[in-house]
Amino acid sequence: MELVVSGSTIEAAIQAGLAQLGVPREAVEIEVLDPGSPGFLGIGAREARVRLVVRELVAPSASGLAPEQIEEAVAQAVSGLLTSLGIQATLSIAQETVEGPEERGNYSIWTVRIEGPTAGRLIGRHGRALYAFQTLARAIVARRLGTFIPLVVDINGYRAKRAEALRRLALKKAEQVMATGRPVELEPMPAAERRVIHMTLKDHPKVTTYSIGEGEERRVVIAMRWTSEGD
Amino acid sequence: MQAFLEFIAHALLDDPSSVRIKEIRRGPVVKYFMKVPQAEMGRLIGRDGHLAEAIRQVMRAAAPPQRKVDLRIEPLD
Repeated sequence: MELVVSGSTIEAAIQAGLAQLGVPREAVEIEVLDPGSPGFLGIGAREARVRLVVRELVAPSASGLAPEQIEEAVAQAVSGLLTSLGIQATLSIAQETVEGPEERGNYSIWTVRIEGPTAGRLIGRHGRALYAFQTLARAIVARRLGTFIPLVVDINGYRAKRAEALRRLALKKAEQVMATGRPVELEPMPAAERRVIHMTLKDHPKVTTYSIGEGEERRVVIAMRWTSEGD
Repeated sequence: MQAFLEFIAHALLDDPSSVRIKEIRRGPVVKYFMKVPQAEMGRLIGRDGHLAEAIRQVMRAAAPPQRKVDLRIEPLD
């Protein structure tokens, strides 16, 4: 199943699409068709468009897979990757149930926490290696079980720490934008980190956010919000 | 790194035994060549090369600090 949606920003389009599909973000692949443009003073503004492709989801009731089976496949994939890379670490795997709308039932998200003194190498700059590691783990589990499992990997508590640092950065830069009236470009970040910035400032009364650049160069811009209603 | 690539091959391919991995060192650069049956290339490369890029990223992160690594996935002939 797939859906093309538009919105004032990429994030807004994604949120609208997820609401329409009634699935968690972990369950879709997101392709940005048009990043949109805020225009200048509303002139030349263009909505962002994204395509959301729903991966085959595991509703615990419908997959026919026992949680123990999934947990075993996840453990084998992750420990196999770590061992083959010569990294010693401990794993803890948790199943978290996310409520979906009635007709689709609840979903499980599987979280793997990796802890170990040398595991930090696998985080990489801005967590890029961590997200790559997660991509591999997801692919291996999907291959083994024949269905996609929403799997989130964390290493040495990186995600929570990084999210907190990014929220502080977003708020500090928003202050700077308000003080100077000039847009601020952040350094390039992967999608998961840009999302934290977008989410932190999405309801901000004075500033707005959008992303520019492609691939590894993609970065968030924080700028004054121009409202057509005036204030 | 060889062990890592072998693990990936076993975990993702139907016929991992036919995969050939070769490494070529040139100073601090090690380039890995992974030869895979044509029909299974897609399993390692993924949509738009997404998976191959993830394999490279993890290899780079796990490599010793002074070492540069790269990976090429090629069809077996």
